Amino acid sequence: MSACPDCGAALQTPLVCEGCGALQTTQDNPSPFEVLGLVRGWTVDRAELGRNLLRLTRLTHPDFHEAHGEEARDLAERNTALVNSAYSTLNDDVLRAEWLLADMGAPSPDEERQMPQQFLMEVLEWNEVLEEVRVGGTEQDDHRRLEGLRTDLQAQRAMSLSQLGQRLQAAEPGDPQTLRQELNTVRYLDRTLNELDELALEKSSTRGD
Amino acid sequence: MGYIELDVLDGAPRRIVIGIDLGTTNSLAALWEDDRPVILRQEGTTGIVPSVINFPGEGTPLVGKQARAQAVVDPQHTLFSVKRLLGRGLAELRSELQGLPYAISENENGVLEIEMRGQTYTPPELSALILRATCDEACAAFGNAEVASAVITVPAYFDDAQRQATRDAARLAGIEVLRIVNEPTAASLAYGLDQKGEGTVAIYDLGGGTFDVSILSIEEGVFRVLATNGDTQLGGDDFDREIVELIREGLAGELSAEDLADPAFLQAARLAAEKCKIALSSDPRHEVHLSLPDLGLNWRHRVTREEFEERISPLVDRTLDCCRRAMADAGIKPSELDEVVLVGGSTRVPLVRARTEEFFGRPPHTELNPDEVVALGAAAQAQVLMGGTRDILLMDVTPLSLGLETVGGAVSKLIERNSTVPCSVTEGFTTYVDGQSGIDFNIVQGEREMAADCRSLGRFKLTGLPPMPAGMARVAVCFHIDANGLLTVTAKEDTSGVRAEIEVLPSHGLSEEDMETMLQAGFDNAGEDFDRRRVADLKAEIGTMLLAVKKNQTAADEKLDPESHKDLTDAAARANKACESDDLDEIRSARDEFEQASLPLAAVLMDHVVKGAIQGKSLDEV
Repeated sequence: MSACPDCGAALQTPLVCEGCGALQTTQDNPSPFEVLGLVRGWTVDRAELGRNLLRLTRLTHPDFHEAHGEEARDLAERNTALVNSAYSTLNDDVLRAEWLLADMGAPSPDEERQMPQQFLMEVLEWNEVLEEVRVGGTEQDDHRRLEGLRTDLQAQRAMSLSQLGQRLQAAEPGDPQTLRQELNTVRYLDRTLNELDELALEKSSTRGD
Repeated sequence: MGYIELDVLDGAPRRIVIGIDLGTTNSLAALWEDDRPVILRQEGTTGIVPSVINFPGEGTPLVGKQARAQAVVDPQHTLFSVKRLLGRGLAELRSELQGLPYAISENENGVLEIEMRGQTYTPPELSALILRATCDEACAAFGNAEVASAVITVPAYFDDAQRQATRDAARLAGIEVLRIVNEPTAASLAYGLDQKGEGTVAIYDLGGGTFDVSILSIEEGVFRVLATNGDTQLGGDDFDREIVELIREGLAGELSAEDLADPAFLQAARLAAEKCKIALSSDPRHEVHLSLPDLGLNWRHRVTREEFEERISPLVDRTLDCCRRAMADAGIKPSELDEVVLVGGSTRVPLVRARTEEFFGRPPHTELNPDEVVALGAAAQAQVLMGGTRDILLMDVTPLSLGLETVGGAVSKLIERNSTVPCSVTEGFTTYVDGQSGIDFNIVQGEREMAADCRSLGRFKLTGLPPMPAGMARVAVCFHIDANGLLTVTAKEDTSGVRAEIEVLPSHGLSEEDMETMLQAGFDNAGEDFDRRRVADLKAEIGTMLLAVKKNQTAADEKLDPESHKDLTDAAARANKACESDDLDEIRSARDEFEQASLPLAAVLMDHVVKGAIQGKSLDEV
């Protein structure tokens, strides 16, 4: 851990000294874990993450450096942007997994588009339900189908994520390509859940709810 | 450390830092004083400056109440709701512009131009007039003051072009912008400070021309926006328009189509509609009375609250759709909210209150003055930015996703909506053709899949790439949204070390060149204004001198030598004549001559005074 050039205190984050409040200039892009002073890994303590975000933002935010000249203001903009981006990466399970996968050199979603074989049958079933709702039935039927599908998808998402998380947290996460395929599953489910929300919103507004 | 420390010179105007709510209908300024924000208002006034401009036949434009008073008399030269035009293009406003009593066109950069008395004005220039008037009002309220800088609020759902246009307006008004803050966020700040409220809060802000909803968490002085949504073309104006339609329908049998489109009629109908809307907030019915002798019209028509509510119900539905989306993005259910705060004058409409209460499942908080909270919050934020307090921290978001058009016209998203600002994203790009020296980009903002359905913020071209085989260039383009919610783009080519240049052509914004021209025109006008004032001063001076000569005519006739007498009479006549013109040089030389010619008379009078004094007479008796 490096020390603050101004006051010598040990830096908990490469962006700012929590001892004297001096903003630090970083050369390379620090990892989101470094930025927020957390241990690298799948498991993240949300409460700690939130606390660290606020503690750091109170030091880095441009609002507090407005009166300190252009250079300080620019550095504040840059460092706060890094804090925000690190937070959104770590706070989101999928983005955090994506970061960890990229860091271990796993293929990107463009390089490896497959999902695990056993998952495909279920996808077909879900698509059928979605299609039924799109065509439209009675209000109750549509609502029941949509909610049923939502429950199924959410359950599957929770299961897939927890499996992926266990692997990522393990000392030997295993084959990067397999991990990528598992993460593709979660991303697929997220897209479908989004579509579901849009569809529900569409249904309720066309009915003049 | 706050604005007070800037006040070092006795007698010099105090340089104040204020918060300005630049509204569609009204604008208002506030200042931080004694640990709290206060509205700047002169004794016995609300401090509110109506966002209305009138261009009289001669002289400088009128802004505020004076302009508003001209609406019916001079509808063709009175502008309302300029804010709805900021950063927009003609095509987007097509339906809105119908029935406007003045000509609007678009210049080659996609910037609107409004023609008034043979001159064209862009929306930022018009907004600058309103900003200036609001600052003047604030300074007059404060006493001897000038505005050093200001926090200016904008609707949270304003896109980059609309924010840029607001910033341009401030620059044209000669105001240094300390920060652009989102209106609902500012309102939450005022609410949090006033009510000491903590927890998860929804701010429902329905103003004159725009609607925003923001979901925030307030915790130990940190105001964190979780999600925002809105519609920048939906507000009280649209409620008025519904009543105008009602009036037009009611009059369809009595007036010709031509008369129904007459500017004087439309303006009168608009004002009557506004009055009717306000009345219906407290009364179950209101009688609209239109009296237009020129059209032979003296018409009364009763509008019930029910009728009005039926008309505006779809508009209120649209606001609730926005609320639904904001709640979904924030991941919050209505039952998880601790408070719903209503902001903006249009939330006085009973239907709005009823429907929001129904939607959020709780009575909304309406204790704060909905017209003032935004300005108060802006003043509080100004205090933070001046280093006056660290107890408050605003963490705001960007309302719309930002992306680039890809080959095939789809959008590749770089920054998701509701990302906390400031935020940066760096993307790598390369060339497709050997020796390609530049790459074209189209930056778009919006949630749609295809670029054509989103708002193009601007195109930029990365130029100056050194000759390289296709795919070898490694260009890193950085998109940064700053704390104002404004986008900047920078680029760097890595392999060659050559810095690629970026030139962004804003789609509906003023170019730097436009700005320079307008600022220059502003200075030129300032010169003209100065001249006009000087002419007026000189004329007044000549008037005083003429009076003095007349008063002492007897003394002049008796005591002056003939030559001096003739000089004085001639000079007085010339000065009198010069006052008929407005030529500064002519008036100035006439005044100087007159002064010269009056010296002998002054000497005679002085002599008389001295003698009188010796004889024991007082000055008054001379």
